[in-house]
Amino acid sequence: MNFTGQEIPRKDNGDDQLIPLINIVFLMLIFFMVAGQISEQDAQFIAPPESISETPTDADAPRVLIDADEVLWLNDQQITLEELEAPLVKAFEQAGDPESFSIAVKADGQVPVETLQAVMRSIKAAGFRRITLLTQPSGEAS
Amino acid sequence: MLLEAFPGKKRRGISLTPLIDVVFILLLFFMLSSDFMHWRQISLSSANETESKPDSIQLIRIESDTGELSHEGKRYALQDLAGLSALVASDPKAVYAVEAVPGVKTQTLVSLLDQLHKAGADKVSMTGVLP
Repeated sequence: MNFTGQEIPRKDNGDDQLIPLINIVFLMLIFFMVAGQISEQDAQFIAPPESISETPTDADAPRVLIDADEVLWLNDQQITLEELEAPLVKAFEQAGDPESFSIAVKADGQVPVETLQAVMRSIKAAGFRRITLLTQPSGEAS
Repeated sequence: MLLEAFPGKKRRGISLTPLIDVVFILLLFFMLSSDFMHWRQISLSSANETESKPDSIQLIRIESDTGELSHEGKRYALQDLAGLSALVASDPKAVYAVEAVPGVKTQTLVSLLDQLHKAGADKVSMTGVLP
């Protein structure tokens, strides 16, 4: 009796030390499952400009990315200003609701305004009227 | 009596190690694939503005990244909300178009658009996208 009485607590101790770890890992798992959104990663990391705007984004809008090196990206493909029109027109033709079709520009906050204006002009020249700039609420920079 | 017949198995629970393995893998997956950024958007040209021609267009020029602005020869500061409010109050119906000297960053432009919204301007845009 004495012998078994010594062995059993030793086995329990091995699992007992793991329980706080499992608690924490479970809490982290639940936090990331609930708080995080699984989303597509951008081709390039950009630090968007901060704004007070509270307008939610249009998920269907094609996103033209301008990274800090002023390189243009559309659907994870590097693209030049001249080539921009054709894929945008194609996206417009496939859009479910042409009335509310808009094009979102996702520019890094450090991009010079003239680069942004050049992209805007080229989108406008393709015939699109609704252009939005994606921003981030201030104080949330990451 | 039966329990005593298997003293080794009597209190041994399920091994936790495979569970921890799986939970760790799930944790890593959610940590790496989660995105905590909350995106917002500002409209740079609304469809309404293109339908009807605006009454007047007030051009505001950003002179530098430190927030120096000019409008019809007068100087303003980006941080000076009272001055911008007075400017907007003189013509609240106008479209406020923002232009910038070369080299000014997008963040400065967005800050000015925000300030103009705070000052009470409804229609704010940037040059190059206006009709």
